[in-house]
Amino acid sequence: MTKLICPECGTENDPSAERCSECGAPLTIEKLIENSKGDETGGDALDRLSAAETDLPGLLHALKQDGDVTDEPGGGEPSSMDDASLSVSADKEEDKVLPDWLNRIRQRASEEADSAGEIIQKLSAAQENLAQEGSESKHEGFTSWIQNIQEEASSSASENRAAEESVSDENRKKPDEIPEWLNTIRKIRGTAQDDLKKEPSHDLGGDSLLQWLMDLEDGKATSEEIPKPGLDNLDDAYEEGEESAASEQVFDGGVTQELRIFKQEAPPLIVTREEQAQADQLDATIVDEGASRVLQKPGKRTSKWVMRLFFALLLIGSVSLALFAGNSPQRQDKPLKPQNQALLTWASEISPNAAILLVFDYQAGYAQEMKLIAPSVLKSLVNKVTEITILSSSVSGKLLAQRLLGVLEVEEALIINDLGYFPAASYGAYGLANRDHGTWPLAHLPEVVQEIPADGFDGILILSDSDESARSWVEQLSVLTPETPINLLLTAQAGPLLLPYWESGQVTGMISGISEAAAIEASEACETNISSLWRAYQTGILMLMIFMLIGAFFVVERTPSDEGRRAS
Amino acid sequence: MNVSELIWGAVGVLLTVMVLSYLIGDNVLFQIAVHIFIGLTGGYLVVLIINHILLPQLMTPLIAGSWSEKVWFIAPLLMITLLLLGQIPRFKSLGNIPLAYLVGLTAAIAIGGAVFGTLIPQSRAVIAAFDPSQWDGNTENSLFSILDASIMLIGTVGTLSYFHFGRKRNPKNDQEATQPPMIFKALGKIGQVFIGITLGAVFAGLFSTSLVALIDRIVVIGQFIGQLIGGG
Amino acid sequence: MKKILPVIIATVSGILVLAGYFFQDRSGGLLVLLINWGILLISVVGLVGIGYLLQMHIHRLIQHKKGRFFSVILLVTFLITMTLGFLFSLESEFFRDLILNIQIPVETSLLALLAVILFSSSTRLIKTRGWTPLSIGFLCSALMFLFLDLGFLQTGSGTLADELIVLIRRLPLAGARGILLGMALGGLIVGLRVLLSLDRPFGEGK
Repeated sequence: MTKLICPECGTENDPSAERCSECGAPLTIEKLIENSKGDETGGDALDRLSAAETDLPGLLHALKQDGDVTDEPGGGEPSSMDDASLSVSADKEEDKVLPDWLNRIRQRASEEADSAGEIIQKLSAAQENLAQEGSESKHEGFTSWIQNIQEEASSSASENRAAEESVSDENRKKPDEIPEWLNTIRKIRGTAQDDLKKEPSHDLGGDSLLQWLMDLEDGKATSEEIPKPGLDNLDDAYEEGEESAASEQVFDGGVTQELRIFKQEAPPLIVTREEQAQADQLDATIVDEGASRVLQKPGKRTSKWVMRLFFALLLIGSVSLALFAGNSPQRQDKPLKPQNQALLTWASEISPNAAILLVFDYQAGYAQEMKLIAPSVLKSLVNKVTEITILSSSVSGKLLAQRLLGVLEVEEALIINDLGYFPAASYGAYGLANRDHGTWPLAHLPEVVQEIPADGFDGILILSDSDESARSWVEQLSVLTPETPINLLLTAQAGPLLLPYWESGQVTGMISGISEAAAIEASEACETNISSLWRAYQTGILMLMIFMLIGAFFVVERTPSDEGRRAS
Repeated sequence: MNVSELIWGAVGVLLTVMVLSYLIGDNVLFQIAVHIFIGLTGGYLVVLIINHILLPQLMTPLIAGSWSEKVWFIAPLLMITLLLLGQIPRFKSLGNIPLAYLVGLTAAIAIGGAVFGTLIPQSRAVIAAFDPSQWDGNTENSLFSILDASIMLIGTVGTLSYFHFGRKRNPKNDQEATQPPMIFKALGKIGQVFIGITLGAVFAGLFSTSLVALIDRIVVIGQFIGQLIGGG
Repeated sequence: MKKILPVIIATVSGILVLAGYFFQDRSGGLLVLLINWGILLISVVGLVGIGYLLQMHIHRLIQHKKGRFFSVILLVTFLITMTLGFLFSLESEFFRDLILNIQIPVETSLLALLAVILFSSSTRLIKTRGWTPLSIGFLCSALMFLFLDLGFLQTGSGTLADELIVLIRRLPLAGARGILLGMALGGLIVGLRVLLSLDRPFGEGK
């Protein structure tokens, strides 16, 4: 059964009493509200209460939904729990003024033993709802309502405290006899008991469920779980007659008794270094996001393409001049690189009956460069052998092979076997190398569509534009067919990273780039397409070298900090 | 210049100009050229895969082969079906089986190639450079060979050290916990130089290749204009 | 079972292929069969990828998103190419000319663009990263190899200058070897992690 607490002296009174039995102060709802509120809040509590009913957040909806609480006149039996200041009385005026849900709460609290437990569960659920509630209007309504009640509670609690201090010292609780639920709340709120004594006015809110709820709304509260109600402890606490505990309750519209449930100690909050570091980093990020920044002027974007166009015109212009200016100078014969010489030696020593495999592993964009590099070797090969096998591991490899062999003007007597397209170079290399091995008899195995020489190949020539795919071929073939010579015709970019394979002996010979091909052609003293564009090539390389040196020693680079300073 | 050469020449020059227009910024012409290229390559790839892989290596044996031969195609057919079913969100997990098969194959080929194709031969080559039987006869060349082998060894070890990101197991202080061991730091500095040298060589090759492409485009445009003027 | 089966398949197929390196003489047609199955699967994966590309562009078209004009171009080109490819076959000269006379100019022009961009950004190669050992080595090496590519330098065979040039040309070998070894080690570790099912890149759940 609920009891009325006198706002003046804090004495418990019968719910039906109109005046305090101790000091005679009126105990009607209007007076209680008047006494508890400050001047500025005036008589708006009731209005806010009724208004708040429409903006109730999840917490109060959860409480409100309990339909078992019926409005009954408050009985004369004393309840095991203390009531809040507003009681569920038979007063019709109060019933009219107070929302029905509040009346239901009080009734339920007075009748049911475990109502607090259910309320706590609903509080837990409502807490989650609170966290998810995004409605500002509900938030504001609830916050303002809570604030009002908080202020009322603060003033009433301060009055209670003042009254309490006037009570004999025997009734004052020693610090270690303060109920556990209060300690729990204080721990959660991080408020020391001494602080409460020092700042009675609003730090008392640290103990209150309302303040906690308010802080939840504002996002300040931690999201610890509400401790399970320790009802045994609760009973013990009341058996000891802890009147002072009751005096520390704050007005909360009928939900006060939930405070008593927090008797169990909250688990100690342990923050690890990593979590603290993450929290600090989050703080720093939030501060950084709020910091003012220097605006980047968009004007720089247009200057980028202008500079690029300038450089393009410079390069294209100089190369075009060199290309169409006149005849290229005759390249002087000079010693070839050892890897080039090895490839030429292999090509010259190949027998007419040799089985050669050509792997076309370059993209269409490199077709022109390959057309300049390959002829010096391919011509001697295709003119010597009677049969070649081709295979492609690039998308356009098949078509590029046809075009390249067409350019070489191969004899019609040459037999060309096409093994087709292998989408993955490593799979193709592995499968090809294992094709002619096998003594495990697998019954009725489908016959291989492509024909390859029974004794394997006498030489493999890989035309590639990428070091990665050429490496796949070399890795697999050098392991699985170590006796087969492997040679590489590469574009200039792939050469440096594949040189170790030649140096280790896995690759017999290699030619990479137009400069090596030009040297080979100079040594063979034949007129080729390379000669016609050699001057243009030299011009382009020289231009690049000059601008690299200029950029390294003379150009001042603007750093982002410089730009920021300049802008500010 | 016949008609087909003229048409293909014009197409080539037009596409070249459209792509090179990117120099003045991303624009409609560049986007059109790129989308034509992607559409064409996609269509060609579909034709290539169906005509040169799926039809001869799967469909023809299934249709024309004997029943005992067809048994060998149950597994790939099943995996292809699972792969296609895996594209439906509800059966997403079914697509994991053929992908697992591919991943297993690729991982094994990668391991085999890495160990037997690169790690062992390249390590052997570093050590074999110190083998006197591989040097030339006279003293001067021997000294040069030793110097060469030493530089290769230091460069290789330095490069590997640069990519070492391990830390001490039992650091004595906080600074040691965040820094690599001193020996790796020192070798890493040397390795940086050798990596820079290698990347410089790659850069030179890359520019060389792209310069040849630029020169080729200029030549093609010049020849086309020349033939238009001369032949027209 | 759903999660275990892919792991088993990956491990078994990987072990069989690895065994081919050690028991090559006895591996028979089994390895070739496994590889052929893999090639078939990769081809279908390629078709699925193209399907996703088309789906994306069709969506863009249907939903009237920005860039649908280019999607129309892509889809029309795709359909025309595919139709002509099935009609004429890959061996036909017309189809070969169609493909190569569009692919070669576009790809070569993209490479030409790269030349211009490399040229224009060459002035900022050092300034962006500062004077570090890596950038110094990069600059010196690039200049040296570009100069050597010009063919201006002529040295007699067997002379000290020639030996020096040979040594300079071999310098990238050390770095390249280190990079190759590093890549091989990385590939080895990743492959082992996959085969030992420490990594499962083929689906959800680890």
